[in-house]
Amino acid sequence: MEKNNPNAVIRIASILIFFSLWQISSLYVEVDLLPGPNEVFNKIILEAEGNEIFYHTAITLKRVFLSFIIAMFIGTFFGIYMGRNSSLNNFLDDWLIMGLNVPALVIIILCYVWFGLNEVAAIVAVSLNKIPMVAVIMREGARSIEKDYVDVAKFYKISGSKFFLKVILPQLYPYLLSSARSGLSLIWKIVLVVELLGRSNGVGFKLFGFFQFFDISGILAYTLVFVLLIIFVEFILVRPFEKKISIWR
Amino acid sequence: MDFHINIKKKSFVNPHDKTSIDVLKNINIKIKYKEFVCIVGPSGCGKTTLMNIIGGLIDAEDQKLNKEQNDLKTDGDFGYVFQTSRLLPWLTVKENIELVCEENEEYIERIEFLLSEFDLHEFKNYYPKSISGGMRRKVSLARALIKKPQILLMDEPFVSLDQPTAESLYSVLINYWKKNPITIILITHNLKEAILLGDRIIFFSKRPASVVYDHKIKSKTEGLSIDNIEIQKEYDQLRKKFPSLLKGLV
Repeated sequence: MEKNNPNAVIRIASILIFFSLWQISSLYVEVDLLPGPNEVFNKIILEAEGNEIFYHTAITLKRVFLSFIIAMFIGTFFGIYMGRNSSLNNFLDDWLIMGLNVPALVIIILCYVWFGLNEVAAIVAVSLNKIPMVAVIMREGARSIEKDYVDVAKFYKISGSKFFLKVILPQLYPYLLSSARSGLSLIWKIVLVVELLGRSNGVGFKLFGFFQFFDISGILAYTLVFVLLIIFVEFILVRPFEKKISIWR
Repeated sequence: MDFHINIKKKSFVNPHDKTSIDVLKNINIKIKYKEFVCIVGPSGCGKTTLMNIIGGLIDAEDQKLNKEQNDLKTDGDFGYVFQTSRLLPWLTVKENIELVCEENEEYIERIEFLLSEFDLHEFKNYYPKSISGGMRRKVSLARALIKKPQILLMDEPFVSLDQPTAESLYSVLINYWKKNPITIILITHNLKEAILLGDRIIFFSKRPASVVYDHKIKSKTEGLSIDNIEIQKEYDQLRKKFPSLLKGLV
């Protein structure tokens, strides 16, 4: 515990400096363009009173969660398969490059045109944007699997499920975590664009409204809440999981 | 039950220039049941390749690995102590041994027995990184013996260990072998070690490896130290007999 104290102090100092810089900057910039932390917190309280912020944040979180699960599942499956099978890798490699380079906006517009302005189109658009990145990271993970350990499993003829869970998966954990982290940060950004373009609820929809009324404190209020939620997920779920799986290091 | 290794040829293709390199040629070895055979030969001559063929990790052309008339394919016939311990670093000592066997009453008892036999009990929940190199080799040996193999393959299991640690491992191995006699094939670069532990030494030529001399060990010693005078005598005789063959060996 004592060992962690210096880190905690550094973190708290960093947060305090961030808010101080924000406050100081807001004093020198026109208040409508950059409201200070006080105004933003007041806006959060105002939005919370009518439960609006909870409703829209929950809707966006649901979309983020669903897209994340779909993208991670499909991306991991294809990534591992491509990393272990050169024929499939040759077949899908160009698709992957294409998927990585098609702008997110194009995929979103196409999904809305093809499937309509509905929930399915929104989720599919976000997932499609993320799948190639997960696949690329997991492909690298699958390629880096230690042959020596695979040989041990092969020699002792261990069962398929044991082989995957005890030999392969632990080697992929760093890659899974890396793609989960980058996935979460990318997905929630894309979800906002999807909501802004074609949904009638969610944080993206609200931001569009604030933009039209030039309400910067509203934009910052929703952004701040969502960023805090993602940080919460990182500290409550991702980091403890990371600590648990890397205890042997 | 005797064990017969018959390999006509094993080649590898160089991925850069696609040339074929012969590694093993006309290997014909008969090993008696419960015999402790050591294989020595120059570095890179193909000893590990031979072990991997026996262990079923790679195939050779026209290979025949027969235990009398029966092909050795049955799960659990072999145990393999690899050149490096190859313990999975994210599994504890006990989990590494459990990995290769079924989770039933018989194996739970067997794991406990081997942990005690090899003085690993108090380290069973340690990760490989937290134990010494000598202990890691012991765990690797315990993992190889968990299924009660009939043939134990050991690829330089004592390399890069200091002499006291190596000798403590000799004693673990020999004590187990005396109580549970099985066929052991050991690759080593240490001729004294081979004389101390084995019944026979098979000398391999340079690549492509073939058997150049099959030596029956004469020294019978009480202790398990390679500094024994009998071992030294036999070692000197072999060195005098095959100066070029034993160049580079310890």
